[in-house]
Amino acid sequence: MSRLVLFLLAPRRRSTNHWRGRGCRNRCSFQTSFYSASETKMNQFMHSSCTRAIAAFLLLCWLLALPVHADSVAPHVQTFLDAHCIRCHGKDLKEGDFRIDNLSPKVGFEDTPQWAEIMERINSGEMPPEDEPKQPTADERAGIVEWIAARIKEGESARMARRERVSYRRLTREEYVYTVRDLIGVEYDATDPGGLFEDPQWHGFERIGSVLTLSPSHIEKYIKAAEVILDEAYPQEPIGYREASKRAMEVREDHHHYERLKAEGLLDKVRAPLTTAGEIYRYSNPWRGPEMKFPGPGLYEISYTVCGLKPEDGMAPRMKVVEADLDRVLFERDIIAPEDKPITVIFQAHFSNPPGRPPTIYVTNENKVPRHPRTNAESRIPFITTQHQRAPWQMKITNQDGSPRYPILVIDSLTMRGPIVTEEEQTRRNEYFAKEESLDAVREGFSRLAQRAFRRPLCDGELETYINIVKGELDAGETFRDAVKTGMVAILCSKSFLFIAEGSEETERNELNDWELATRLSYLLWSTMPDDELFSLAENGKLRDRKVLQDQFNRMLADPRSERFTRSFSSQWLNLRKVGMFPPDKNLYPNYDDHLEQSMVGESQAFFGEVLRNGLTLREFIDSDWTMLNPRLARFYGIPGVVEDHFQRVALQPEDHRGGLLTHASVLSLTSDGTRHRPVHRGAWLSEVFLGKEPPPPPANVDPIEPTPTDAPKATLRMKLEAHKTNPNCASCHRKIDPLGLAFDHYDAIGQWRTHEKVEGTGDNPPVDASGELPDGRAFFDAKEFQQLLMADLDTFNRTFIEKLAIYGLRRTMTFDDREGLQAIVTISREKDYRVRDLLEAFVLSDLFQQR
Amino acid sequence: MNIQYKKWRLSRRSVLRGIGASIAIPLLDCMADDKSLPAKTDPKRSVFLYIPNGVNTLTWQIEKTGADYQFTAPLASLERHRQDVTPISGLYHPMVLGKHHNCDKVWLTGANVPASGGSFRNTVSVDQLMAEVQGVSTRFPSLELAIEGHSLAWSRDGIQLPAERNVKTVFERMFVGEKGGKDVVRRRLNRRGSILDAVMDDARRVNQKLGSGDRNKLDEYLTAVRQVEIRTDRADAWLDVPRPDLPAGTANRFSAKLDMSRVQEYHRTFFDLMVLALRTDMTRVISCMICSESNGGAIPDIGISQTRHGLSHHNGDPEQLRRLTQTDTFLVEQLSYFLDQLKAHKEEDGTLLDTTQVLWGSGMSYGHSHGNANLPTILAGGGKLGWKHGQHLDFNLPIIGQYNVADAGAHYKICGRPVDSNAHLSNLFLTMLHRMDVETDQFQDSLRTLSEIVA
Repeated sequence: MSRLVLFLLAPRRRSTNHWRGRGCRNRCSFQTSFYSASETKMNQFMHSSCTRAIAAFLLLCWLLALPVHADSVAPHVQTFLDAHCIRCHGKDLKEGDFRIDNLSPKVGFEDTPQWAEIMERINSGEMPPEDEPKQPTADERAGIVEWIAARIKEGESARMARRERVSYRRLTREEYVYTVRDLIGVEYDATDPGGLFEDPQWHGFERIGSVLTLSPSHIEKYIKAAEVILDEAYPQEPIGYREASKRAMEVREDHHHYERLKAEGLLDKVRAPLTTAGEIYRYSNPWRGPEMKFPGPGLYEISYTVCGLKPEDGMAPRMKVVEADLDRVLFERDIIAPEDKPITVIFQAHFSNPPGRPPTIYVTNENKVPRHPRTNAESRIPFITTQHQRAPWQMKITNQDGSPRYPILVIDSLTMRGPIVTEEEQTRRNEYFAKEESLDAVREGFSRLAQRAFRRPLCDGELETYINIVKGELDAGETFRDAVKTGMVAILCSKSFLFIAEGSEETERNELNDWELATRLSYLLWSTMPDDELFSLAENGKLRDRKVLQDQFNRMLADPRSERFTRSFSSQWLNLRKVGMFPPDKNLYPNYDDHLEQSMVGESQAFFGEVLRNGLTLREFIDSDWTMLNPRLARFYGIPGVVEDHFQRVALQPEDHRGGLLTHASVLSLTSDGTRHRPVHRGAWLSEVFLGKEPPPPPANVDPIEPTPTDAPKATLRMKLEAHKTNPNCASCHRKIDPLGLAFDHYDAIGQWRTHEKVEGTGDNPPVDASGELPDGRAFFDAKEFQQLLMADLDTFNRTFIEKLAIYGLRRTMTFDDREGLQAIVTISREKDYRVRDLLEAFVLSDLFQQR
Repeated sequence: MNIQYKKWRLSRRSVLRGIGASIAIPLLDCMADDKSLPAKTDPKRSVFLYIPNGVNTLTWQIEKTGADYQFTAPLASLERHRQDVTPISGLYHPMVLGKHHNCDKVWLTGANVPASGGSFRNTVSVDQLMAEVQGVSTRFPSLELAIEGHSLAWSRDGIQLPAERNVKTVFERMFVGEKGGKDVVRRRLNRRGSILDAVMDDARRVNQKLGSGDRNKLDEYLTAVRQVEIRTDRADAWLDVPRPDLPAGTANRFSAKLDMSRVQEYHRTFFDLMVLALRTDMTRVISCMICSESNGGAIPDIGISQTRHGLSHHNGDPEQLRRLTQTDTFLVEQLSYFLDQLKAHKEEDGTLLDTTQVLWGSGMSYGHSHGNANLPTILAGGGKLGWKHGQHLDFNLPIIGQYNVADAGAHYKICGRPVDSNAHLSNLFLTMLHRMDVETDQFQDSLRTLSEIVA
């Protein structure tokens, strides 16, 4: 969810804007106590004028609001309370039955509702009451509100990260699927209808243990999933591997062109063309006849032989393959191949259809021209080539020289083979299942399964629970196979499989053991259970050896599965799941579609991957002279020359107005509401994601923003936010948030570059003003200049990034107790010139990573 | 033939004792160990329907209080139900005031939400308290639906009870049941019972070694498993009770693939399903989110392609406001249709509507700047539960004297800040709970009951 509302305070209180107040300074010196790094930073600022230095100092305080474990109320807060609150809310008057003087000074940890109430009342201007002669300044208000808000957030983090003797953190849906795949070689379609629930998020992060709750329906889903998975691994009747092919278009004997085509020897040359809108190729079922029945549930390889004709200046045809019953996209790609040189596209898909019931697969061409029923590709005459003579009533699909006028997709044939079970997968399945019908054999199989499923050695007697199920089922007259499977379902629904557990039941323990370390590492980089090599190192107690751990890190990062880290971490850190959450208005943004949306997310993920894999530094995230584009996004950005349908590195020119993550369409979209860009949200997002600082909440009872009457002169959103600057009560917070977002005003709600803001009202659209000033006085003219200012604060970003990485890797929020652990990684990162790969390695090798 | 199908119950017993008091299981009493179902009771029913993003409050606001009021244009279709509805103005949830995020999640709970919109622990929703009492007599204690979006229902532990969005799935769960015939299903339920026993046994073994402060997530797991066990018991107990006979064609109607872009038909299929569930006494408590806060809510039927969220951020554009009113009107018309259907079904001495209280509303009022006071709220039906309908209940007018929607700014202010700070939505919930025989003096931050509309 977006995190900040635009707000205006009622201008009913007199107050002066006095940012450089004493109170704030006190607070800041208090907060920066442990960060020596900030002092170095400080020195740079001191070169400027004294005023600016103070301002810079204050900015830093704000940027580096570090977790501080306070057992006492900060002096400026105490001063405020003494001056404005205690007289009425003290032990004598107890106004409103509310006392402040006896509240716990451990703000954020004790008496939290009361402190939150105090914050809200002061923030909203309700307290001190209007008729009190002594009123605090807006900055004094802001100071106390920020301080309490920061303490409450720390308290929340501490509670969320609370280390119980054993911590249980549930697998996410994605991790469940990968884990089951590696455990037993079955692909579970968790996102299909009836699959598993989507996981809740915390500021974009999906894997925070305390947030991943469990309802009875979750358990029911897990039971169902385990049954489906085991039925596929151990089918009632053996399912054999088969391969089936067919021509995309077959001409039957009763077709009136049959004899002609036969005579010309063209019967096996007929193809299926997809040109105009709405056309669906529906006949994708090669399973025919009693000998060629669809084998049953499993993983299949599907291949199509196709041509894709791209008009010279137009788009390539885009092949999209979907399972119509499940509404699942199986494959999607631009196809470019000449008519006489078809290519074969291959992909894998999992189906849980029972034997004899093949999936319903449709193919469409997404880049198509408006529907026209009479092209020479789509008529009753079987299609062989675009070079056909065209009947007079038919629409031409080629130019005089034979080149295509439209994106044309031609399907020649298709093949489906499966189910595909690798030797390793089959061996695993066999290992788990009793080789003979005895309980001893069951025990042997279960011990192999449970050990891998639980990611640790088994405790004494732990297996008996599951063996007893088998016993009971056999006693009840179930078949041996069903009885064993019931026991296996229980293993897959047990807490030890569904949760990643850390810690010991009997003793307090802060260090991870080898098994836990293997698990943490594996879920960090691969989002799945450890493989045999990791298990074996854990078993031999070698994983905590620094060299071994480093080798494992290198090995795992080189493995294709580490792509999951790239994708998942970048999405969760940047909160990319929010892209498209508020679908852009179709009237305002007609060029927006699913493909564009996926491409936006893809750019940011690929960009992260490129930085990680090529030894680049954190600086690239702030600004870069390159980005990762596919043809769809390149077209959207207006950057020519991207043809191949995958994300590729493209050099950027200044006139492209792109560079760094902050100008990605994904990031610019996810902070918008579908119709307008939202500078305040952009600022708050940037502040949290890049600077690690969550702005305090807006007060509760602000007056609503009144819409601009349509007959009023046009005004940019920036102009409407003017009160954020002029009203001191707003300005005290908003001048720290708004400039960060306004810097990107040259980009609209879906991230397109613009020079004028399209708005309602009369007259010309107003020009964009993206200039601004940071609270420390440093000014910028536009996004580029702003990015350079961010670059100067690289250490802040470094610290933030490492904290986000740690949240992802440790599956919990960071607290005050983690500060030294984080600082150690921060230091190494700086020594390594902020290279992302190096800081990831430093994280894995750090003490923090080996502790609970 | 498996004659030992109850074999796992004994072991579960011992497990139950071991869990201790940390898990409150409200449905414990209704467990049908000896397969005797609870005695039939007179049905009292509740339906909760949620619309997102508020309304166009300028065209929505009914201006006169009492019985002598006029429906505004978007509410006009309710005229035919005048004696069965009470529009209410001025209610709000104090703890979420000014914090628009998650207002859908707390509509039925009134819990506190962090202003940041981050995750939070919810509290129990009002429908679930009703299900604890009325659900004892039905095959399903409650039904959670969402035409779009997510569930409105939250357990006592503040955990969301996921909603079903697929009509066919709901229909089959209620009226068809699991495939394979009674014996096969019973065997499957028994198998499931053994599985639940085993995983519970395993978790309990660890739980005993941990201090009570140490087992947060494990308790959550145990509670969930335990509740599935109750559901399994319940399914077993109901297995011998035949599912109701339905008119020919009913199954086809709810199994057909639906076209979501034909919104009226799509919505009405859900409403018909709700009526069917209520009149066959499959359940007495239903919650349903009609559209989601973030996406969806476009109504191609009436030429509206924008999402409701998009429309609610109208920025004063008269065209957008007109369309927002149009969607408000459309959504109220579907409510009127639902009330029609409830009325059409006659019971002994009245209609299904008389035993069904329906609450329709939003957690947002003035969406454009996230004003969430003066929440749009319509209470309908439940005459036999003791409601006295036929008037517009207004908590603003006694204080402000009269509305002036021509002054948009002033009216938006009413929708952003409560006029009567005591007009908590929880007051209505408390009153509704009493109508459902839930004995309680308090719901969340309730201050009193709305005795003015109770007969």
